[in-house]
Amino acid sequence: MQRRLSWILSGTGTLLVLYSIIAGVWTPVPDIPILYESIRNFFFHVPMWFAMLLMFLIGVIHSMRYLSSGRLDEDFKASSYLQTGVVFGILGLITGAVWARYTWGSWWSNDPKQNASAITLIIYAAYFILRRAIADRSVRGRVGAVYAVFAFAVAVPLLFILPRMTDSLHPGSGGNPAFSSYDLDFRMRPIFYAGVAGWTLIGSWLSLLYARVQRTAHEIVLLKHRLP
Amino acid sequence: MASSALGGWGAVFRGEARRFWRRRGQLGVYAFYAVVLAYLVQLVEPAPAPRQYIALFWISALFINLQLGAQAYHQETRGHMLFYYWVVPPEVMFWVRALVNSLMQALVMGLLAVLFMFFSGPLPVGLWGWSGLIGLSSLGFGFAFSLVSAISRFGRHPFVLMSILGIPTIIPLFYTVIQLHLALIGGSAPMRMWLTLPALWGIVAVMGTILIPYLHRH
Repeated sequence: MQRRLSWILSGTGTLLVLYSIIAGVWTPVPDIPILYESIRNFFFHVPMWFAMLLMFLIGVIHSMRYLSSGRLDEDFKASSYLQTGVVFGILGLITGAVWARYTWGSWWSNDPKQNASAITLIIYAAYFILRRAIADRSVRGRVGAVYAVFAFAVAVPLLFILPRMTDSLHPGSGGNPAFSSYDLDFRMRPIFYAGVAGWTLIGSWLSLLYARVQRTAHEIVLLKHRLP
Repeated sequence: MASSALGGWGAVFRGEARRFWRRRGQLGVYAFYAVVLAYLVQLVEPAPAPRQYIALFWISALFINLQLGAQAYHQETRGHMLFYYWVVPPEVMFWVRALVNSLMQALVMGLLAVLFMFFSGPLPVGLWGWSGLIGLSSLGFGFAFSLVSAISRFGRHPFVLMSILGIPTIIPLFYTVIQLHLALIGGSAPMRMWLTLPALWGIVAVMGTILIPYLHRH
């Protein structure tokens, strides 16, 4: 069952991501002032953020399940999903910085959304530091899960509310053209959705794989303790 | 049932007040920090422009509050835990500690504002606006730092963890306070900015109330 799920996630994810990369490079795009050809980054940058948020959300759900059930497996999954989410966040920052270099003129412009996403990654980086600072396995899981839920509650206003309180260079803010229903071309939508679904499936596959690695490492430690 | 719950709250408040009074020497340490920071700011920038004034004030306040907030749970011994959690549930304990913490932070920030006025000249924003900001932000900082203190006390180096966990998680509140304060320089701040602060405090308070019992489940 687990192996079949793994094949489905990795196979479908790879196909969708390959489609979004190839079509994202070759498909004709609308000619929007300021954005022009750089709009193609939309197929790579935005799916990273969607995948990051979904990984964080699934990680928080597993954290809550760990708090209610105490099953170690949930903790392994929670930390794996959050770790994959951080990787997607870093990729999102890099693809965004490359785009900003050509559109805004610099890699980093202290844009509210850039700052909010960087701070979100720092908040989740602190989660892994916290876990490493606790030796006891069950306390680590419990305290880590509490922090993960709190961090998600902090990250939501940080990403979705606070950047709207000030002007931003980002598309969709301060009169800049957005990737909304007005200018998101009908040819772009399937490629974008394929990218979001593909990266999310690959992220889930990697997370489940890493959770299995953690479980196996934990079982090896337990077996070593039993040896005379 | 209700009277016993109120009695529990009263006992915890009295216990917390006694705990603070026993450590009154530490409050002197925070007052000393405030004096040193205000004096250092004046040395570096004798007459700061309004934006710099606000930034320097809030960064100074953040570092004092972080240290003050850490006290909420870091000094809790096993004896305290056995006594308090037998009297009241952990979430009540969290509220009492966070409220006491907020009160202390408001006092320290008030002192810091007086010192800034003394060393760096008059406040760039009216006294009422400043007081409102200190009141609302101390509630937010008090609850957020109390929750982070409860989480970080389980680690090997709680005070280091307090900074690692506390500074990033306080940024939404801190950013809102700074934005609100900057808007007040221009005259008045929009109501949605004023409402954002209590909304963020509400999120932290609800999260604390829900999550704190899980930390003490063992």
